[in-house]
Amino acid sequence: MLFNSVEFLVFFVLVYGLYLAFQKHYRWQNVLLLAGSYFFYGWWDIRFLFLIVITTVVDYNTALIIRNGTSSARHRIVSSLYLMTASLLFLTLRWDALDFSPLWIGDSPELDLLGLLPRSLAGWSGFLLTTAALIGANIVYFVMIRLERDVRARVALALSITVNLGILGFFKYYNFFADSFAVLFENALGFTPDRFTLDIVLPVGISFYTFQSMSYTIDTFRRDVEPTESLVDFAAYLSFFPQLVAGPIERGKNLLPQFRRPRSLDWEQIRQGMWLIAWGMYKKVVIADNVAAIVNGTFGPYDGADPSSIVPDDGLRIFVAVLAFAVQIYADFSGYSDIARGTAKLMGFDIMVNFRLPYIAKDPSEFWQRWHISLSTWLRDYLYIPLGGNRSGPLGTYRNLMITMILGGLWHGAAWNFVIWGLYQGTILVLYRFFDERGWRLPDFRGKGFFKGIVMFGFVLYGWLIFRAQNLETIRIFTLSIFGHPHGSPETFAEFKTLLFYAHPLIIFQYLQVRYATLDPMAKWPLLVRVAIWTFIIMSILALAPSEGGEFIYFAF
Amino acid sequence: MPSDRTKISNSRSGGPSRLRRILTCVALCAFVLLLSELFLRIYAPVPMLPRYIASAEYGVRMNMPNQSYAHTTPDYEIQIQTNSKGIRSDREIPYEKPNAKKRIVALGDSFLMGYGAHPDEMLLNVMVERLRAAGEDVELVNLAVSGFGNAEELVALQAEGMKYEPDLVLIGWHGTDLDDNVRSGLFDLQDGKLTRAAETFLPAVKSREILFRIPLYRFLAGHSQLYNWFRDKVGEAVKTVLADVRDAQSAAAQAKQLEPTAPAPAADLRQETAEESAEDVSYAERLTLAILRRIDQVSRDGGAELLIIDIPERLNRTTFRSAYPLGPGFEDFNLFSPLPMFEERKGELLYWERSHGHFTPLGNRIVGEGAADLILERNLLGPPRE
Repeated sequence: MLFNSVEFLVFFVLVYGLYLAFQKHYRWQNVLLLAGSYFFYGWWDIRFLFLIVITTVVDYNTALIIRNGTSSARHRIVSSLYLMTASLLFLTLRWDALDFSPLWIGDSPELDLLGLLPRSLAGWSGFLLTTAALIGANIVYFVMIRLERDVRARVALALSITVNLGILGFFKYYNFFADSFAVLFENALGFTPDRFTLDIVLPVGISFYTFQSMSYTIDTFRRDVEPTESLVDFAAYLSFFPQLVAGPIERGKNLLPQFRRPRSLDWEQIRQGMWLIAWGMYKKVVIADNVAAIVNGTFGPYDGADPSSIVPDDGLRIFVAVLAFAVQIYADFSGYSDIARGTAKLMGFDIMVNFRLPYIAKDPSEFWQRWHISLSTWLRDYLYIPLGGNRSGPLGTYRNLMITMILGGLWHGAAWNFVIWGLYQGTILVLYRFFDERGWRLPDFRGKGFFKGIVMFGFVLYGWLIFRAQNLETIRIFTLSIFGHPHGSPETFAEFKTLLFYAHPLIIFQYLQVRYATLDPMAKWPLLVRVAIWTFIIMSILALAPSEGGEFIYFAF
Repeated sequence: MPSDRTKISNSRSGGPSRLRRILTCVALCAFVLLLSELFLRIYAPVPMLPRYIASAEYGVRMNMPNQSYAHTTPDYEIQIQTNSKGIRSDREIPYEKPNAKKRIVALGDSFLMGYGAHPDEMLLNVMVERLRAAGEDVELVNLAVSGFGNAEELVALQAEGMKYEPDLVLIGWHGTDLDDNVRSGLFDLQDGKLTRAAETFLPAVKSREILFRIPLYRFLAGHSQLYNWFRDKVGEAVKTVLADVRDAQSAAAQAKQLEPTAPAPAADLRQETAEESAEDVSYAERLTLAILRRIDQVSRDGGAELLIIDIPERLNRTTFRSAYPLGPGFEDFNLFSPLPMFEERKGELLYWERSHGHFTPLGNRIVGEGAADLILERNLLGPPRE
């Protein structure tokens, strides 16, 4: 279910109405949020809900084992029942046996309840395998509790990380590595092995909730978070629909406690929530979706595995397309994050800010403190610092930076351009650090900050070229085109004009955010100004959004 | 610092009076409406094409008689004037044909009515001028009404058009005609024979007639982009919902008809479904063909030839396509398609691009001149009158 769809509007109105009705019973609200979130996610593909349930059950018990040394019989029984019910509901039952379409012609719906049950053994395989896996997991558990308590906690954490990365690796990276190894064999050994690629569909948001869940168990291990005894609370935290499919990747210590106490609502929260939703929606449907036409018009013909290798002679047009992509990806992703934050705020939750005006960054380090903050801090806390961070000497630090950024690139998708993008980001971070450590800085002059911002933005733009290109050949020829043939045409000018037409309100608003040093400058503006801005935003969404809106870019990651 | 809740309660006890609050709300609403109008004018100009439509006594739509109104869009501003019979013309045309004159009665939708064109730029007027230049003493009776399909054209021709004693009947073919002919419900096929199924087809005409009597409404329809934008959006939404409901109903009905008595392979079901939908398409085509044949028959009975002008669909500035059916029987008519000429001029502005996609003066000229040349070539106006 997309935020920018009628289905979501209907869904949210219903869920929110019920949520407000349960305002005095926060535990019922949690149950409602859990059911609503599963419905929200299952709208794409009900089968993938089972993956979320596996992650939920594994990490819920892992955290309890890490903290208490054991998972009590009650917790294990509840978890087992939860997993088996999920297996039955999401993998086994044939929901297409319920046909409501006859209602359209005044007939009664066909509710063949017996038809819900699979008729063949293969249809029950998911349920049987789940049962077998549960038996196996309990055996592992009884073996594990014989270990020393400290060792037990480490083993439990290792098992949890293995399960999480196993699922993520299989669904996201299996084909990439299978293909890459085949090519490696071909090049190195001169023979072509059989390629065991599978027809795997990437579950939406798997990278986001997997990282969120891993941070919970690791933080429990580090004693940074108190694990919850309530499976409902944890399941609702992990599947919280506003940020389930594209973040922010929340930390247990911030979001989980909010599920464990009553949430209060006040007008200021509602005002902020409504504004974040409207502003996020504006960024997505007005800016990102319209600017996408410029990006796709230039990159589209080069997408795919076998693009042209002729260097385009209109490098200025490529540059405008890259600029447009910088606007598109920022408006798309930060728009999603704003809608997520706004939706959560309407329900009394406070989730983290994911973007802080990233394009005003003056150096690579600052950029990563402003762009996709929930991922960059995750990588810092759970990868860069455990690798040794900056405590391993200059070379060690550079190595850690490179590893972190390459894996960060790979997190975005199983493709070589993301690896190269990570490598590129790592390189500019290392170079920046290298120069900074030696005190090689620009002399002071008027407009130095602005100059640094422009240079940094140039580096960011080149990064976006690597990121958007779907193959290495496109990166090569577009680079040669921009730097070797910087020519334009009337179409280039027209595309630039279109880009400015859609992006100028964003630029103005961001200027005001910088000027007033707040992400919410509107709060203190006079009523008439606020009404005028609201009118502009609403009318833009209604009148300027293309009829065919696109999915959010980060759904694919 | 007082909380928000405190602020609210304070304002209730000692705050502004109810009347003042109501006035503030009204002022804010007016402010929002004004800003919205301004927004549209700056960022997303909306074509304002009010349709002054009334019900004709013969059961279909006609242009409101004796009206003068403007069509304003980001591309153009034109004035539309109708005479006492709702014809877009500044002069009256008697039914009785003057001696020695030849008459062309035209029926079609907004393209033939000349949306987007000043009177001297309209394709039918360009056509007539070219015919006159070639020595034909010809007069035009333009009975086109925005939104017309062939079924309504047939009704209007029988009831009104033939009174003008035409030598040539000319109708426009538009891509929406197939659907419109079925949707109007004016005719259906019974045992393959065209039968009048309904006396009237007057979608939203009554409400229009009432609304256009209100001066404020007339003003908004002709001058407010916000109103026109809102009306278009609501119209689109209603159409989408109705289409979705229709699709769902048709899918459910089809599924019911296809319900197998014994389990049937899915491939067979798909095959059957495909055949049925092919049958649906052919019904629209068969009905349309029967209507066109009846128009041809009515024209011939009155001593007139029939010419169909194909209005190509614009996909983009360089790509056009004809929606005229290629099925058997459709080739029997005199058809003029400007498609080859459009192909030659592709890249030029033949259709307005921000104004509901009607012809530009260039598009009108190409079609009008091409149609005139075909009329002359095939001698569709017949021999000169004494």
